[in-house]
Amino acid sequence: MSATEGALNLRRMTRSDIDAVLDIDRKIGGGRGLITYRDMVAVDPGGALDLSFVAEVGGKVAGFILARLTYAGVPFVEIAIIQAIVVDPDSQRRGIASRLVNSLLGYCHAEGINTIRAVAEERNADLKRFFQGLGFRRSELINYVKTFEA
Amino acid sequence: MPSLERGEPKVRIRPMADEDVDSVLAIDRKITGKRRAVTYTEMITGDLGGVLALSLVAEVDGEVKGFILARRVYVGEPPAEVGLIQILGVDPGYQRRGIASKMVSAFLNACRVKKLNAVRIMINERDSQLQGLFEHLGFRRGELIDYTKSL
Repeated sequence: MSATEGALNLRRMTRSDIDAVLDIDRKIGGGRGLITYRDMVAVDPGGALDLSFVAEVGGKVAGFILARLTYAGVPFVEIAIIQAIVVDPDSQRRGIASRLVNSLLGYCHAEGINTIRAVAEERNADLKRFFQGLGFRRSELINYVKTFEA
Repeated sequence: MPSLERGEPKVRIRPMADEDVDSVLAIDRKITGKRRAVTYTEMITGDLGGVLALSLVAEVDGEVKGFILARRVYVGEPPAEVGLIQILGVDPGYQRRGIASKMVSAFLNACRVKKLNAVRIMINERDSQLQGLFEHLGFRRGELIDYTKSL
C-alpha cells in the first residue's frame, strides 16, 4: 500500500511536523514555498495558543490546518482563526481538508472556544462553498484594506 | 483630564511594550464595563507577546489611552503579506480627539517601512462610525469575506 492510499489519521500539530509542513508548502508552490521556517516558529506548533492539526496518510503528513486562538474586537472575544488549510496535491479530493476543519471544530467545542473564523476571497467560489458546506456563515464583519503603491 | 479640556491633547504614538499590558487591559475593561477572562499572564505569554512588533499605543500626557493590536499575516490569493489590525481601542474618556486616526496613521507608516503590501481590518457592517474613520484614512472595502461558525 502506498503512502497516498494508507489510513488517515488526524492529530494536533507538533514542532516535529515543521519540516513536513514546509515540504508540502513548497510542493504546492512548485519549489518556492510561501511559509518560512520563521513563520512556523511563530506558529509555535503545540503551544498554548496554537490550534493547528495535521492529517497523516499512511503515517506521512499529507495536509495541515494552521489555526490559532486569538482575541479580537472591542470588547475582546476569544476566537479560533483559521489561517491556512493545505493538502498535498497527491492526497487531494479525499475529504482531508474537511476532516482537518472538523478536527479543529471538535477540539474547539471540547475547549469551550465558541467561535471559529476564516476568510475567503469574494471570487473564490470553491472555498466559499467549502466553508458553507461545513456550516460556516457569512459574518457581519466587512473587510477594509489600504494598499501601498509599489 | 485638564489638558483635554483646554484643547488638543499631547498624543505620543509609540510601539507597544510588555509593560503596557495592564494599561491595554484597563482600557478594554473601561470599554466593556467589566473584568474579562483575559488575564495578565495570558496577554504576556500569549497573543499580545506575539504581536508586539507591529502593535502601538497612544500616550496622552504620559498615560496610555489607546492601543492598536496588530499582526503580520498572509491573506488572499495569491497570498500577500499584510498588516492586520486585530483590535483598536481608545479610552472612552479620550474618544473623538483624533487619537484613533493618529494611531492608524502611525501604523500605516510602520507597515510601509516594513515593506508590507497592505493594511487590513475587519469592521462590523453596522459600525458606520468606524467605517467612516477608515474610509477617511484612505481605506476601501476589500474583497475578502469573513466566515464564522458558532458552536
